[in-house]
Formats: sequence, structure tokens, C-alpha cells
Amino acid sequence: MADLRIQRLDVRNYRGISLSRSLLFDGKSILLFGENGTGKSSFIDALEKLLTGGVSTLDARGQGISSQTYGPHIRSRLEACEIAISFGESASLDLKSAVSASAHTVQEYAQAARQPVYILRRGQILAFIESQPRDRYDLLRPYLSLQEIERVETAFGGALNQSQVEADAAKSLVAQHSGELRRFLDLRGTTGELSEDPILEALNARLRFAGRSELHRLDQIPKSIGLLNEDLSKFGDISKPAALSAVVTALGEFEEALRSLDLSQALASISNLRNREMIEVQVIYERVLQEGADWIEREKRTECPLCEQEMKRFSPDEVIKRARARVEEKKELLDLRQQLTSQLNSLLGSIASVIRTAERARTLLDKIPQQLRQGAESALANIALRLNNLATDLRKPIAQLNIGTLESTIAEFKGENEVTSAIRRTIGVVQKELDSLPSPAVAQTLLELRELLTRVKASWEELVPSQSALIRAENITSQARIVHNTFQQARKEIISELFEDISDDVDRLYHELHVHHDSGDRRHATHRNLRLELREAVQRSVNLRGDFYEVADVDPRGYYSDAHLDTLGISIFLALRLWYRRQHPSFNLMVLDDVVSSVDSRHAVQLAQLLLKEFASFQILITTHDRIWFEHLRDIQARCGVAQNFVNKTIYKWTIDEGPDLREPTDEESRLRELLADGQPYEMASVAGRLLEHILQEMRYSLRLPVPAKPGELYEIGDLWSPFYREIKRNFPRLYSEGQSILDALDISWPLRNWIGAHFNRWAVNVSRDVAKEFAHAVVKLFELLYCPNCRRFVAPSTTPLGQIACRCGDKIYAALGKEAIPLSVRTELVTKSAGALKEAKLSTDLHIEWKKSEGKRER
Amino acid sequence: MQSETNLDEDILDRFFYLLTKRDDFPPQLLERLKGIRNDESLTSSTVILSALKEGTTQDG
Repeated sequence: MADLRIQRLDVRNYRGISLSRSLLFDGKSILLFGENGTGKSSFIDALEKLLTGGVSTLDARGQGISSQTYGPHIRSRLEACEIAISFGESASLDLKSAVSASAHTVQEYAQAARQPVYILRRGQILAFIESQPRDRYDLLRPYLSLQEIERVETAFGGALNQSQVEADAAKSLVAQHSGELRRFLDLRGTTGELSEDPILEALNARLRFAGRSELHRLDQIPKSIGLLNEDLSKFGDISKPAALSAVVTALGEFEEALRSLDLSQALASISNLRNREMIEVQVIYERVLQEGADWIEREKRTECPLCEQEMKRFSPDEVIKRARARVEEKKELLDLRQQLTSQLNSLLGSIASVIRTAERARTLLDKIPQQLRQGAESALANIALRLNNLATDLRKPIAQLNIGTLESTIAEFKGENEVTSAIRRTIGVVQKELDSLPSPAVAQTLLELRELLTRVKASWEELVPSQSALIRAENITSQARIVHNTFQQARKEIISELFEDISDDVDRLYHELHVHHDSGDRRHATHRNLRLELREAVQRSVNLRGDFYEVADVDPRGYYSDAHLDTLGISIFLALRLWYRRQHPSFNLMVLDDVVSSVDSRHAVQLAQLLLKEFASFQILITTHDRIWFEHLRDIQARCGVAQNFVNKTIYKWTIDEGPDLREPTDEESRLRELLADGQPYEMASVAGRLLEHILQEMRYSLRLPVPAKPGELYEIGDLWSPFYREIKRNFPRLYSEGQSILDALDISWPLRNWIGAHFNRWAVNVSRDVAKEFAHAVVKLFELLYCPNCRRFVAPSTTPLGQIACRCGDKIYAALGKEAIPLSVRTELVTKSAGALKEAKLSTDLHIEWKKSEGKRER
Repeated sequence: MQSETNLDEDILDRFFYLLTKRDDFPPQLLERLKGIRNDESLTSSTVILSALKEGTTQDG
């Protein structure tokens, strides 16, 4: 399927374009010349607005400036803007129609054009080069279209985070059940994972003391409880004393658990940490120091990892040493933080355990008569609620912990208050009731032992699966981490390989632009091996490196001239555009908005050749305000055999009321011929004046007329005629002699242009038909004298031989004084024979200077 | 779009290749992740976590 190519761009009421204006591509590329401020970029802004929905140069400025508010013409509103591109055969895009309603090929084109990666403006050339590495990656994002893969990476990161949360929860459960068992069996001196052995040992000590059989495994507890029940049954109905005993034990354990809840260590640590931080004054970013030192060492970098500037005061080795020494100095602070975190985690486990104890006591209280409970249930509920609140507070970041509040909360728990009084009162009442029952002390001991076994069994049964769940959760987290890290590695590797491909193009294109410096093998060029590198130690960050003379691996910004950095910026853009084309083969648009203004003539010519050869299959819109480069590019179009692929347009002037003036001289000439037949005098003179102005604008460029500068370069006939007339008369006598009658007539009648041209006045309306006709006739003749309809170019001074003036194809030719005119074919031969001394027969800067020198000699 | 497909696929191919080369990554989990890729559900952290849980044995 053939690529879509723009046939025309129509714009109205957008940026500097007020009245309807069209760029007629006819499926070709356009080379658009215009002085600064004549509306070239308005066409590009309009094109970008239509294809991307915004204008990057406006939308990136911030502070209320946007394409939405500043896009419309200053005297228009957004609703009145009209922008449309036509691809021919009724395929088109415009501001008001939905892209989805377009043909499939147009939709595909519009989709590829959504990101403005095919537009390079003068102000953007250095954006990539001068950006910091992280910003460079962001600038490359639109080319890479990584949004989808970044969503995958985010999902892997999310799975890792969630698995970590679940592992932390499992860890907390293990701490809770371990804490209970340690408290039941008085194992509080032990730390770490709780295994079966210390529990068995502690339980067996109790069983031995009570004269009971020891256990070999904890799963023998039910059997031991059965034996205890058998012995207890001998004491008659023991359900009531059992229930009362369980309540006393549970409430006692609750009291004990509450009493042992020790915030003092954590509070002391918080206080200690804060004091230490106050002494340090500066907060230490240990991770930054550690990773920064690693980065400098591993990548052998010479820039600071934070500001990415060259390290000047200390060498990289010294910086690494100092960073590590600083981390070591702060180790105490780091240890304090780590210790506090560990204490807080342990405290949270203890709080959860106390809450569980309270809940268990409440359950047991339900089994004894109401009159014995003494308000203990509500007291337990109250304290469980407050403990939950305390746990919530303790989960806050360390900096937000309020020591005063925590101290007062814990003081309430520990001191005498309604809650603790109610608990103690209940224990007293229940114990009194228990003592009053006719139960021997042995039964009491057996009951307590049975209660202990029951509770150890319950906690152990919860601890074992919690420990398994923790191991499993940690395994899952470990796999999630492998998956996440591997994915990052894969992305990094692929992007690095991609950068290698793009870098090869950057280096090659840069070499093409500087082939006059370093002819031959680019591997031995003075500026070589230019490349984009994904930074090893930093995710999503891009370095720009190259070799410069004998120095390898440097940042080009440190050595290259501004002009070379400009051409490097252009090379990077072109390499990326080639890459983007490989991804979207049917999307061929490329826009270069005045990008050669900062590079010299030789680089500009190389760029022109490069564009026309390497990017021949693209549809390019090139704008320039550099007339010499405009002419070069036109010449090179012919030389590269691609002239038929280009439309060369000139904007002659711009006004706020109308916008850019894109009229073709041939259109004006045709109109003038019609008016000569039956037009009104005023209209006839007006169009003749406009055509004359047009001719003089062209001749100003080609003859380099010395014209005093005017604001906006809005030259009119009055400014241009005299320098033009003098130049022709003095330096191009053959042309003057052939057109003398016309030139002399116009020299007398040119003021008509000002009187009756664009500037209306009452006097001008009264111009007679004969005067207007004479003026118009002379202008048409001048046009015929200077414009070649075959190559569609005005005549310009030739260099072979100097003093000759001719159009590009040689059809229109006026010989130098005393010489024969040399036609194109012979001229080509002459250039070949001169073996480069005259280069190509075109007006390069050097030849122009040569010609001007010669002109000076002739004048003398 | 073609570019997204190509680059995305390249990265995913490399990702699975790197996982295959690891000897500490369970083959059954690798197969599950491949299945999710085929279902085009790799952008869901819930689906991935669920696969990690199902594909991870007690001993890792």
C-alpha cells in the first residue's frame, strides 16, 4: 500500500494566519522560505495542533501559556480556527471531525503522528543535548512508546510491594503467637523463631512438678489433657471451679501481659534518636551516600550523582572515600533507627498479644455468673479499644510519634484506674468464690495445668501455620523480587541495544554532516563514536558520550563548539526519526522549522545533501529564513535528481490582518494579463505594483542589493527600485541593454506602485487607464525579462563566467560584458574541467565572496 | 501500534529468556507467567501476585 502523503494544508485564524491560507504540497515535500516573522512557524504550529492536539512550544511554556488560549489568531477565538490536511481522494483530517471517522490508513497516520517526534524546531535542537540524563530519557519516551511495557513493570512492582505487605503481616502474626507462648511458659529471655524444643522443655518442667507424664511432642498435649480430665473427674463436677479457675488465670495473665507491656525502651530509643538527630543537625541520607559512592566506583564516573556536574574539588576516589567515611560516622545513628524499628515491631506484636488475652478473658467471663463479673467485661473492651488506638499510633512514621501522648497512654494502662480496679475486683470476687468451693488443692493444680496445656496447644496450633505462612510469604516475596529485577534488567538490556542502533545512526549522520572535516573512515574521525548510553546505576537515565581526538568516552558538551553541538542535536533528531520510521513505515512526515540558522554554510549544505539523499522517501516540510541555504537546497534538489519531489515556496511578507503572503509571481502575472485586457485602472495598477514588488524582492536576494534595513524587512518598491536599477545599469549591461526601454520607463513610473498599489489614497483612484496600462505593461515585460517559466526561477548572477546573469536552466541568459553567454551544458563541462576549483556552478558563500571581490575590482 | 508491539515483545522475550537462564526460579512459576503473557494480563499486579502464590512452593 502506498504511503499517505499530504496534498494540502489549509489554515485559517490560527497563530499568525488570519485569512485562509494553504500550503499546497501536492504529495511532495515543501521548502518554505520567509524572513523572520512572516508566518512560517504558524503553518507548523497549525499542523502540530491538528495532528497532536497541542503545540509543544506553547504548551511547554507554562505560566498560563497554552495552545488552547494562545493558539488562535490574536483577533480570533478557538471556535473560529480552521485547520485541515488533505491526503487526496477524500481522505482528510480536520479540527472538527473525529479521527475515528476517517479511513483506516488516515487513522494509522494520525496515530503515528500523535506524538510530535517528527518535528524539530530551532529552539529544540539543543534540548536533548543540554538536558540532564534523567530528562533525556523522558525526551526519548515518545519515540520509544514504552507506555504499555511501563504498565507491565508497574504491575510487577505492585506485586512485589503487595507480597512484602503480606510477608510483614505474617511476620507480625508469628511475633504475636510466639509472644503468647513465651509469656505462658515464662520464656521471655529467648529470642528468634520459637521451636518445639524450648516449649516442650518448659511444659515438661511443669508436668514433672505436678507429677505428670512428660511429653515427647506437642501433639501429645490432647492426650495429656485427657488424662488430666480423667483425674479431675474423680473430684466430681468440676465445670464450675474449672470455669472460675480459667477466669482467674485469664484475668491474671491479662494483668501480667498489660504490666509487661514495656514502652519505655521504645520511648527511650525515640528520644535518643531525636537527640542524636538534633546533634547531627543535618539529616543524613545514608542511602544516597552509599549508592552514590557505589555508582561512582562501579561506573568510574566523574560527575556528582546528584547534580551531574563534574567533581572538581575532590577526585572521584576521594569522594567515594569521604562518602563511605560519612556513612561509617553515622553508623550509630543508623543503628539507632534500626533498633527503634525493631523495638516498635516487637511492641506491636506484644500489644496484639495483650488484646488477644483480653478477648480470651472476655470469652471466659461469659461462662461464669453475671454477679461475679464485676464490670470486667466492659473494662476489657475499653482497654482493647485503647490498645488498638495505641497500635495505630505506633504504626505512624517515627517523626510523627508523640512521646508525650505515648507516655501518658502507657501511664494510664499501668497505673491504678477504673479498668485495672475492675479487673482486680473481679479476680478477688471470683477467687473468693473458687476458694469457697469444696475443691482440694490438687484439683486446683490440675485445673491450672490443664488450662496451661489448653492455651499452649491453641497458641502452638496457630504459631505453626503462621511460621509456614511466613516462610511461604518470604518465598513469594523473593520470587516477586526476582521477577521485578529481571524485568528491569530485560528492559535495560533491550533499550541499551536499541540505543546502540540509534547511536550508530547518530554517529553516521554526524559524520555525514562533517565529512569535510574528516573524510574517510568515520572510525578514525576526530569527533567519533557518538552514542546514547543507558546509565548503569540509575534507572531511566541517558548519558551522551563520544570520543574526541585522542580522548575516549567524554561528554561532547565539554569539547564541542556550539555549532557542532547544534549539528549533533540535528543528527540525534534525524537518527530518532529514522528509527521511528522503521517502527511506522507508512508514516513519512518530517518537519524542520528553521533548524539551520545556527550552523555555518558548509554544514548547512551538507545537511541539505543529507536530507535529500537519506530522507528522500520522507515528506518533508522545511522552513528557513536563510536565503542562501534556500537557494542551496534548490540547487541540490536538481543535482540529487529530486527536484520533482519538491515544492519551493516563498513568503513575501506578513501582515496581522491577512497573515503570510504566499502568492506565486506567475499567478500575479496571469492576473495582470487578464486585467490588461479589460480591468479597471486602479485594479490593474494595484496588481502590477504587487508583481513589481515581488520581482524586486527576488532580485534583492539574487543581486544582494544594498538596501537600508527596515523593521520586519517589509521592503516596498520605494526601498528596492533604485538599488535594483543602479545595479543592473552598472554591472549587467547586457541585461540592461535588452530591457532598457522597460527599465527606464519603470524608473520614471515606479511611484505609481506607492500611489495606487496596496496603499489606497484618493489621488490614486483618479489614475487614468492609459497610465495604469503603460505601468502594467512595463511590469509584465520586466517579468518576462527576469523570470524563466521553464525552471521557474528568476535570473541570478552566474560565476561562470563572472558578470553573466542567468536562470538555473540557462534558458534565460545575459552574457557578461565583452563575452559570449555560456549555456548550461557548456557550463557543466566547465565545472567538471575546473576539478572543484569552482565547485559546483552555484552561489555558495565562497563563490559569492569571489564574485563580490570581482565586482569591486570592476567598479574601481 | 507496530512500535509498541515490537519493543514490548522484545523486552518480554528477553525477560522470559533471562528467567529461563536462572536456576533459582521455579519452572512451574515461569510457565504460569508465560500463560499470563498469552492472556495479555501482565499489566495486572493482582493476576501476577496470584500467579506468584500459585507457582511458589513452600520451599521456594
